[in-house]
Amino acid sequence: VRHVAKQPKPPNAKPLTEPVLLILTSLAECPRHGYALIKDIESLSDGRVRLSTGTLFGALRRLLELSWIERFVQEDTSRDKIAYRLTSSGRRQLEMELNRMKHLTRAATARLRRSEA
Amino acid sequence: MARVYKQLLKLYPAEYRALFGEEMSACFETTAQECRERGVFALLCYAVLELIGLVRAACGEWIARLSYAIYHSKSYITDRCLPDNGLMRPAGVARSTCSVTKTQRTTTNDLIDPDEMCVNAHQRFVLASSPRRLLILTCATFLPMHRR
Repeated sequence: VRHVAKQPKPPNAKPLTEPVLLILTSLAECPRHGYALIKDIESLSDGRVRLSTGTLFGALRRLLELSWIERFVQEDTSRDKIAYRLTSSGRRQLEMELNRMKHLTRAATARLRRSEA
Repeated sequence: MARVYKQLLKLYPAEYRALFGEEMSACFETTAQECRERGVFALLCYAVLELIGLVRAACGEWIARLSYAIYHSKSYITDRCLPDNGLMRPAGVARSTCSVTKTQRTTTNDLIDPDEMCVNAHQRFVLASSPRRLLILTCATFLPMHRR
C-alpha cells in the first residue's frame, strides 16, 4: 500500500457555486418547484442571476445525487407538481457555506479598515 | 416553440430526460408565455439563452454519464487497480486453507474512505470530480502508467 502524505479534508470543503448556493438558499425558506425556483432566484439576486432551465435542472440533479435536496409531489397546488425541499444534510451544507462567507466578510472588512486607518 | 424545445430535450441522456423532461418542458412553457407578453424581442432573447443553457447542460450530462460508464466497466477496475488486500493470501498460508473467497471482495463503496485519503488509483478515481475523472481516463488511455 502506498502511503500518501495528505491531510484529510472535511467532505465537500470546496465553496459552493453560485447557482447551487442560490438554489439551497431559495429552498431553505420553503419547498419549491422548478419555475418557482427560477423566479425566486431572480428576485433573490435582484435580477442579476437568471438561471436557464438546463442549468437549473443540471444543478438539481447533482444536489439530488448528493442528497442535499429531495423530490416530492406537492399535492396542495391546483396541479400536482414535483417540488424540491432541503434535507438536513443540505441545510448543514448551507450553514457551513454561510459561516465560511461570514468569516471571509469579517476578514475583508478588517483589512479594509486597517488600510483606511 | 414548446415542440422545438421538447425535440431539443432529446440531446440529454434518456435517464435524465425521463426524470426531468416533463418538468423542464412545463417550466420552459410557463416562462416563454411570460416573455411573450413582454414582446417578441424578450421572447427571442429568452429562446437563445435557453438554447445555449440547454446545449451546455446536455454536454455536461453526457460527459458525466460517459465517465461513469467507462469507470464502471470491469476492465478499467481490474487493469488499473492495485491489489485488493482483502483478496490476498497471507504469506505462509496454503492455498487450500486460505479462507479468502470471492464473496469477500470489497465493493466500490467500501473503498471510499470517509476522510478522503487516497491510497490507490482506484480510490483516487472514485473521489475525483467528473472533469478530473475524464482527465484521468484520457491520461490512462494515452499514458498507461497504472497498468500492471
